[in-house]
Amino acid sequence: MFISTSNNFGAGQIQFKDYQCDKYVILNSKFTVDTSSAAYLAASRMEIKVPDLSIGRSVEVPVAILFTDRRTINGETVNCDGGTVLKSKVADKNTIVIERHPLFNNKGVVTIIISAMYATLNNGNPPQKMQRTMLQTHQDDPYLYMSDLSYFVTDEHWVFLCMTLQNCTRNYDKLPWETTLVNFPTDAAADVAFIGGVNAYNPQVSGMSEAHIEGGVFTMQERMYNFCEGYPKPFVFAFLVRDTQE
Amino acid sequence: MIVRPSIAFSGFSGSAKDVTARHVHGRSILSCRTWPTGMATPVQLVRRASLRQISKSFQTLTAEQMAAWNTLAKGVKSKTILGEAAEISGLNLYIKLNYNRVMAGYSIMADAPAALRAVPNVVYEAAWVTPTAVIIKGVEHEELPFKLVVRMSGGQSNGVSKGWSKTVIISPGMEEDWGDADVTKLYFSTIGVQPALGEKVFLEMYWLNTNTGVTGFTIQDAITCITDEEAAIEGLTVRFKFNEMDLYEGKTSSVTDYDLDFSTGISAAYIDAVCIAGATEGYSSLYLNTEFPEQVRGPFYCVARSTDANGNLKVQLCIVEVKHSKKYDQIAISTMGGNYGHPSHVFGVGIRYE
Repeated sequence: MFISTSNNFGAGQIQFKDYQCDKYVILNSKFTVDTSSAAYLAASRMEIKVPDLSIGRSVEVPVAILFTDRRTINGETVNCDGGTVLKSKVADKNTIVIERHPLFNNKGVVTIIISAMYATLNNGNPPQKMQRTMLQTHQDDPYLYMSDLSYFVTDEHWVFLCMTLQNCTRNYDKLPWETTLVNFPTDAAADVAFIGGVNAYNPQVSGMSEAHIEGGVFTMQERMYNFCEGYPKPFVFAFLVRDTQE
Repeated sequence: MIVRPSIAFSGFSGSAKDVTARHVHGRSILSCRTWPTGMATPVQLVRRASLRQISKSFQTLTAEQMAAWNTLAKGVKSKTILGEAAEISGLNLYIKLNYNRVMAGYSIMADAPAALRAVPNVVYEAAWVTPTAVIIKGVEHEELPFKLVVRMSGGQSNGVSKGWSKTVIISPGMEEDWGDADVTKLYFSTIGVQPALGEKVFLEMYWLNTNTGVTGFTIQDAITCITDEEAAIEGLTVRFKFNEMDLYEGKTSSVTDYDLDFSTGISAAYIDAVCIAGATEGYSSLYLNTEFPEQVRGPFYCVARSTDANGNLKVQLCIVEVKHSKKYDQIAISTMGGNYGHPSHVFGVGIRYE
């Protein structure tokens, strides 16, 4: 775990959960940015200064940016939250950069969620592939179903989750969700972005909502309307740091 | 040879027979006239046209701009001639720095740079020349605006000890690729002939500041062409990275600008590619003549973001499959979640699984 030392876009201190080695760094973080602030608008890219990382640069990877949009439609408050992924990389051992896209200028306070593996290249021949575990979920009263192509890959220090929604019983599509991820490491905890759904009021971006994984349990308090409609379905693509004892 | 003649020859300038005279900053200098040794190559013609164009463009500068170049030039010393450091004029500095920029693909800069900061030295581990590869390894990374200029000679007899005058520009400005400067294709397209085993290839490299046109110290090396097997024993490893491969012409590819790299050192692949949509929505494919090694075949998941002209930024979950078959090999990218949107940019790291 470490805390940023500064940034150029007016955000406060940013906390990161991390796993670092000589070939890659996995980071989990969630923080807010005021996209109307002078500092944000003046920055050509978002730069976060951090204590020394184990790598001096990385390839570009996606991180999620999510904005809140609630509208009153037919007398009802409707969740039209949306977002996309921004390009992020380790620029040097003390700097993480995130693309600043003009679409989000003056969009108020947005949330950035990082669940990424910042990898390096030219480290030799590819080793053996990893074994994946097909995801199974458990609910005492089943209402939430994930695609049978969903899976996770476990490492000693991190776990990668690739999960796609299949369906939700209609009665539950506006209620908080909770389901156990069977055999998922219980020592990984992070907020993740659940991306997708048809966002008719923000057609330029994807629907996007926040979810949480902790103790092998997946929870999601609310989600964009129409989240369960349409095809293809929303997904989670996230690297989570495990809280292993050194 | 350059000679400073006696007072009897002061004021002469021009060429006559094999002698060229010029008058520079109060000094008369005579030198042997140089003659072209053969037909100008297409590369030389382009280069000479650039020099002419840059030289002429100086006359279009404002008086203030010219003055700024002259001021900057006062602080710069050119090569020494007969033991004396020669001054360089604003025009010559303008030509020199802009030529370096134009060569690297940048436009002519009209305004003199505010300052000329030092350029780092090239630091690298080794260079190899084989019948199939011309590559410099372990190049220490420098951020933009620095780009690497590589000059190399054709194969020379092993008895040649100083062949650096025979080097030509292979790459006018490249970024090293995670420590690799692979100039194989550039070398063979520029030199035209691969060196024979045992022949020596002379190498020069320097960093170029593409903002100012200033170049750093030129390092020199000489590499003997050896077989691929000998290079492997010496430590040259094949990097499992794929881009710019030969397309299979029997099918239409819908993936462009791709870079697929399996050298993360872990069970993960890196992809950077543009999908321009295929016959089916949510499916793009690249059909290739090259056979993928078995170690890299198989799938991994990745994320893509649409990049269409309407400014859409929809996000997709994609499965990337590296496939091999008798007729062609394939990189197939299919949307598995999120929102369709083409063209789209697939980028990032995916875990390769059984």
